[in-house]
Amino acid sequence: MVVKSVIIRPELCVGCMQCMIRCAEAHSESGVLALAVSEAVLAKPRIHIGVGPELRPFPNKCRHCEPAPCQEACMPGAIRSDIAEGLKIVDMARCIGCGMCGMVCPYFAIRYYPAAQVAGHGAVAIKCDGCHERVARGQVPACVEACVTGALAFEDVNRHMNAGVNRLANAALGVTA
Amino acid sequence: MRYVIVGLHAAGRSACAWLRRLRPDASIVGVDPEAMPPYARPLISYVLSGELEPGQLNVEGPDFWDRLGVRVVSERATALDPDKKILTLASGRQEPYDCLLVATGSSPRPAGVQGSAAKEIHYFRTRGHVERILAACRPGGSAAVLGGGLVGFKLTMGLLARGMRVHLLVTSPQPLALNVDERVGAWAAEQLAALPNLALQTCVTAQSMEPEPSGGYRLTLDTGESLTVDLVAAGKGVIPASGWLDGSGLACADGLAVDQRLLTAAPEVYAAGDTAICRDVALGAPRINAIWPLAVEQGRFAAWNMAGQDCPYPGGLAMNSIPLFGRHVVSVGAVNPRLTRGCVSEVAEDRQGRYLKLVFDGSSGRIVGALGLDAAPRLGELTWAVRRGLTRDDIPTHWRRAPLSAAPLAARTEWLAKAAGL
Amino acid sequence: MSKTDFSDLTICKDAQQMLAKAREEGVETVWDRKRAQEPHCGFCELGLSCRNCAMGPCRIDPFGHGPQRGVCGADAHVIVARNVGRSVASGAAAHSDHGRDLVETLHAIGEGSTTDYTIRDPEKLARIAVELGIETAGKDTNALARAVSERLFEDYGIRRNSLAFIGRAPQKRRDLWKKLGITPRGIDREVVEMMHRTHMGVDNEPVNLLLHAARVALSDGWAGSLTATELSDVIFGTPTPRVAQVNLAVLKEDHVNILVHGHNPIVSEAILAATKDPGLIKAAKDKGAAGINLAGLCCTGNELLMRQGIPMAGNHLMSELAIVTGAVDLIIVDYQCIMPGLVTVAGCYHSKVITTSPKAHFSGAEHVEFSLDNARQKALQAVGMAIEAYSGRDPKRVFIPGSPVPMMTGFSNEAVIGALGGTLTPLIDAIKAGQIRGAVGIVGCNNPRVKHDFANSELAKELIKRDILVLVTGCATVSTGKQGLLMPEAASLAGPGLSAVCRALGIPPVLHVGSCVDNSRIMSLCAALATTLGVDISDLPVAAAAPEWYSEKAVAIGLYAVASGVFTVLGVTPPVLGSSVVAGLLTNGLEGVVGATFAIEPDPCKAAELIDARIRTKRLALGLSA
Repeated sequence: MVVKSVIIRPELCVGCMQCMIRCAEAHSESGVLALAVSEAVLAKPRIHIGVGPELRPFPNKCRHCEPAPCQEACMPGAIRSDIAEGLKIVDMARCIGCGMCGMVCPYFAIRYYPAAQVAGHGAVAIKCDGCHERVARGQVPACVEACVTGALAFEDVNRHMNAGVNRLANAALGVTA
Repeated sequence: MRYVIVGLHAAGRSACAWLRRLRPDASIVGVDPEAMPPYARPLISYVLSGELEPGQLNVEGPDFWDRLGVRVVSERATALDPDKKILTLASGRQEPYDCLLVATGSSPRPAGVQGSAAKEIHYFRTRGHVERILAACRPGGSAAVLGGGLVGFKLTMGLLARGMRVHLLVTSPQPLALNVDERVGAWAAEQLAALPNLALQTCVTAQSMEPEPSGGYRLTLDTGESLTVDLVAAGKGVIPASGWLDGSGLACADGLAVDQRLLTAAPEVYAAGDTAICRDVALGAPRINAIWPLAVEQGRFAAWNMAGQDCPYPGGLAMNSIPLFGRHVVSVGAVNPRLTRGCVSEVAEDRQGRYLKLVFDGSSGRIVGALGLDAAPRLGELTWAVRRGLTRDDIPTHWRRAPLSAAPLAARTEWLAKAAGL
Repeated sequence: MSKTDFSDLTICKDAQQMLAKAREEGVETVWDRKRAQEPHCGFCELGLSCRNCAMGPCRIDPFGHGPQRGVCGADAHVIVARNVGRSVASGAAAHSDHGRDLVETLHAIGEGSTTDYTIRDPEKLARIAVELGIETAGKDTNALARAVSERLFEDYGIRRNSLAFIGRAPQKRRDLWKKLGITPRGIDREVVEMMHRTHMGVDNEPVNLLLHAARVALSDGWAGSLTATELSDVIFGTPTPRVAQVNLAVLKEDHVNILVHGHNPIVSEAILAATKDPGLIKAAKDKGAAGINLAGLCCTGNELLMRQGIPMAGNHLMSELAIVTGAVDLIIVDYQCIMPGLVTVAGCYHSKVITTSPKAHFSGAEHVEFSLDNARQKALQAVGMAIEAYSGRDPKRVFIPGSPVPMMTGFSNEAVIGALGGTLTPLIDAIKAGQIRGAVGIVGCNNPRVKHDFANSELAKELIKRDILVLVTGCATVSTGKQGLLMPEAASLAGPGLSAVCRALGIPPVLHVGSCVDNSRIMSLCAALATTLGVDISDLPVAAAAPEWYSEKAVAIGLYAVASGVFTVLGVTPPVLGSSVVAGLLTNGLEGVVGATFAIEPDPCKAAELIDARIRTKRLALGLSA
C-alpha cells in the first residue's frame, strides 16, 4: 500500500493563504466556508504561511515525525498515533493545553486555541491531522485541494523523490524536460 | 534476551514500548511498586486544582502491560549485583537480567524543617500524594506552601482553587526563580500578589513545625515570625531515587553518571530519566534535568542502545511549560539570572504583551536559552536551536523581523532562494 | 480522462451534446476554465480581499487567526462594503453607459446626423416628452427627439433636482429615498462618487457606504437602464407579443448563420437590416447557402427577440457552445458578458468574431467599428464577411442538436396594458381575487458555478404552480423558454387561478419582458400598480429572484430592486459573508430601512417557499386572501 503524505515545495508558494482558509473551513463544525466564519468558536488553520527569507512565503505544517517529540512530551497521551496510519493526531478530549508539545516541536507547527469540538475546555493544541477523515472518504487534504500552484501536493514520498531525481539529472545533463 | 526495567513511569514505560518494537521476542520484566495501570505523574497538579478528575491521570488502559508483553512485578527493587546480573526485590525475590535499565526516577527533596510535626508535611509527586492532600484540604482553611518553584507554585494554585488561604513561603527573592528571567518573574510575582487569599513571602525559610493543641500546626520562620495553618505542603525540588543502588558499587549519591549511550559504569546497566546524569547541552556540563519529556526521550534512547543499536544521546536541557494566570510561560535552557551572567539576550515583544527572549552565550554566541510569554509554539524550534548548537548568526533576518510569524528555523529555507525546478 | 456526466453541468440537452462535442474536439469551454480556477479564493468569496491601493493587497482572516485589519486599518466590514460598492458602481455603469449610447442615437436622429436609424415609435417619444415636462406643441418628431435626448443627457452629467424618470416611482417611495438621503442625483455622478468613496481614506463606515451603493443602484434602475429601455422602444419599436423560437436548433445547417451577442440593439438591429439586403442574400446563395439566418445570444438577442421575433440561440453559457455546433459563420458583438474565451473557441472553428464598439476590443477578433453615421454600411460589410466565412465552413464538423422550441415574447408594459384593455384594473382584480397571488421577476444570468438553467427554470415552475405570475428577462428568458414555459400551453403547469387567467388571455404563465436593462419595465409596472393602489412598492405581493446571477450588473439590479422595496432572492452567494455587518444589513437590516431585503437561497424549491411566504404576508397586509 502506498502511503501518501502532503509534500511541500515552498519555492512554488505565492503566499495566497488559500491553504490556511480551506484548512480552517475543513476543520470547522459546518465544513462550509460561508457558515464556518460565523460559528461560535471559530476553527483555526493547521497550516501556516510563515514569512521566509526576503519576505518569501513558506508553507509550514506538522511533519508527523516518527518518533515525534510532541508525542513524547505529551503527558496525558493526547497526541495519538493509533487514529490514522502515519499521523500524529491530537485527541482534543484528552488535551489539557499545557503547552509541552509546543515546547518541543522544532517546526512551529502547533498552536493553542479553543476548539468547538471541546467547547468550554480552554485552549487546546491545534495541529495538522492530515485530514484523515477526508482522506478516508477518498478526498485529498484540504490544503492540497486549495493549492493552485502545486506548492502542496498529496503524493507518495518515494514517487516524489524520483521526480526530484529526474529533474536533477535533467538539469545536470542540460536537458529541459 | 531478558530485559529488566526498574521503574515504570515516564522513562521506563517509554523504554518498554521501544524495546518491544525493536525486539518483538525478547522477555521484558518491569519492576515498580506503584499500582498499575500507568498514569502521568505531572498531571497530579491538574487533579489538585480540579481541572482533571483523579481517574483522568491514567494514560493507558489496565491491560497496557499485557498488550505490550511486559511482565510486571509490583515490588520495590532493593539491590543490584552488576557482576552476577541479578536484581533483588523487597520480598527477597531475585530477578536475573541480561540488560537492565534504572528508571527509578526521583523523590521529593525533604523540606529541611525541624520539629515534631515535620513528618506531616505533604509532598507532591505521586498519585498517593495528591490523594492525601485532597483529603486534608478544606475550604476556608489555611495552608503553608514551602518553595516557590514550579511544584510550590502548582501546589499554591491548586490549594487556592480548593478554597484554602495560602501562605507561599519562598526562599529566593522571587517565585519561579529557576524557570524564568527577572522580567517574567516580576510579572508572576505581581499576579500572585494580586490574588485574594494568598500571602506571598520571599527570602524566607520555614525552620520548624509543631502541632497546635487546637489542631493545625505552628510554623516558625527564620525571620522569627510564626504562622498557624491547617496544612503544610512542600515543593523543594527532587532528588534522584538511586539510594537503593548503594551496595552495587555504582556511584549513586547524586544520581547515576551515564555515557553517551546512557550506559552506567556497570556493564549492561543503563539509566534514564530523573536518575541519569546526562550532558546538559545548554550548560555544556553533566546535570540531571528531572522533567517528563526528557525522561520519555531518554527511555527511547536507552531502549535503542539496549537493543544493540548505537544511538548516542544528544543531551538534555531544562525546559518547562507553565500555564500561568491564563497565559503560557515556556522556558528552555538557561534563562534564570543566576545562570545567564555574561550572556547576551535579544527580546521581541508585541502590544498584546507576548514576549520572547533569546539568550546567547557571551563569547561563543551559541544560543543557550529562550523564554516565552504567550509564545509557546515558537519555543519548540528554540529548543531545537539550543540542541543543534545554533549561534546568534544562524538566526536569519527574516526570523528576527517577525519572530511571531516567521517560517521556522528548522525549515530548510536556504533553498527557497534558489530558482524553482530543483 | 474520466467521462464527465454533463448532466451535472446543465439541464439542456443541446448544451450537453455540445459539451460532449467540445470535449471530443479538445475545445476548452467556460466549464473547463471554471474547473481550472477551482478552488476559488476563499478571501475573495467572502469579500475580504482588497486591492484598492498599493499599501496592500490585503486580506482579513475570517477565522481570527491572522490579520483583522488591512494596512490602512480597514476592518472586514469596511473592506466588504467597499467591494460591494465598487461592484454596484460597475454594474450601474454598464447599464447606464449602454443607455447613454441610445440617448446619443436619439440625438443624432433628431439632429439628422444619422440616416441609418429612425424613430419607429413616435407616439412613445411623444408620451415620454410629456412625462418629462417637455412642451410638445408645434414640435415635429425630430425636434422632440432633440428635446428628449437633451433632457436625458442632463441625467448623465449636470446636477438637477431630480432625474428625468424618477417621478414614475410612487410618492411614498420617493419620500422614503429623500428621508434616507439616497435619491439619485445624476447617473454618472453616483458612480463616480462611489469610486471616490471607496478610494483609501474616504468613506469608512459600512452602512454609509451601502446606502450610497443603494443610491448608485437607483440611478441605474430608475435612470440608466430605464433610459436604455424607453429609447430602444422609441427608436426600434415598442415590443408586441409574438411567437419566436429558441435553442441551438435555430441555427440552420444550409444557411449562412450569424449570431449577434452583447447588449445594445443599435448594432444588432443594423445587422438584422443588412441580412435582408437582396444583394447579400444573392451572394449567400451564390456561395451555395439557402439564405442568411440571424439568431441572438444574450441580451442583444433579447432585444431583437422582443421587438422582431428573431430566434434565440441561447443564453450566457450557450455562447461558446453555439460556436461548437460548427455552423456559426460569424458572431458579431458589442459589449458586456462576451467572454474573452469566445474568441479562442471561435479559433477552433471557421467562425469569425467581429467586435464593433470602440469600448470593447477583443484580442484575436476582427474589429469593424460601428458608428451612428456608418452603421448600415458596416453592417453590410459584416454580413459580407459572414458569407465569406461560410465558404470556410467544414460540413463534417457541423452538428446542430435537436429542434427549435417555440416561445412567446414581446410583453412590454404597453402591450400588457393594451391586452388588458388599456388599464391595469383587470390585473389588479385578478390579484385581488387571488387568481394571481403575486408576481415575481426572475432575472439575471447563468453562472457555471450552478447547474446551467436549472435554478432559473425550476424556480419559475415552482412559482407558477403557486399561482404566482412570473416575468423573465435576460438569460432567464432562454432558461425558461427552452423548458416550454413561455408558451400559453404552459398554463397547464400553473396553479388553477393563474392557469385560468392565462387561458382566458391566451398568454403563458411566464412572460418575457425583455433584456436585462428591461428590468426597468418591471420596476415601472410595479410603480404603476402601487400608484394605482395608493400604496408603496414594498406593499405589493411581488418579489424578484436572480437564481443564476454572475455579473456585477446583477448586483446593481438586485440592489435597485431591494432599494425600491422588492424582496430579492439570490441563488448565488454574493461576496459579503466576511462581514456580519454587511451581510446582516443586506439580508435583514434593510427591511426596516427600505422595506425589503435580500435572501440567499441556492435551492429553487426553497427559494419559491421564501417568495411564497413573502407574497402571503404582503397579501394579508393588503387585506387580501393569502
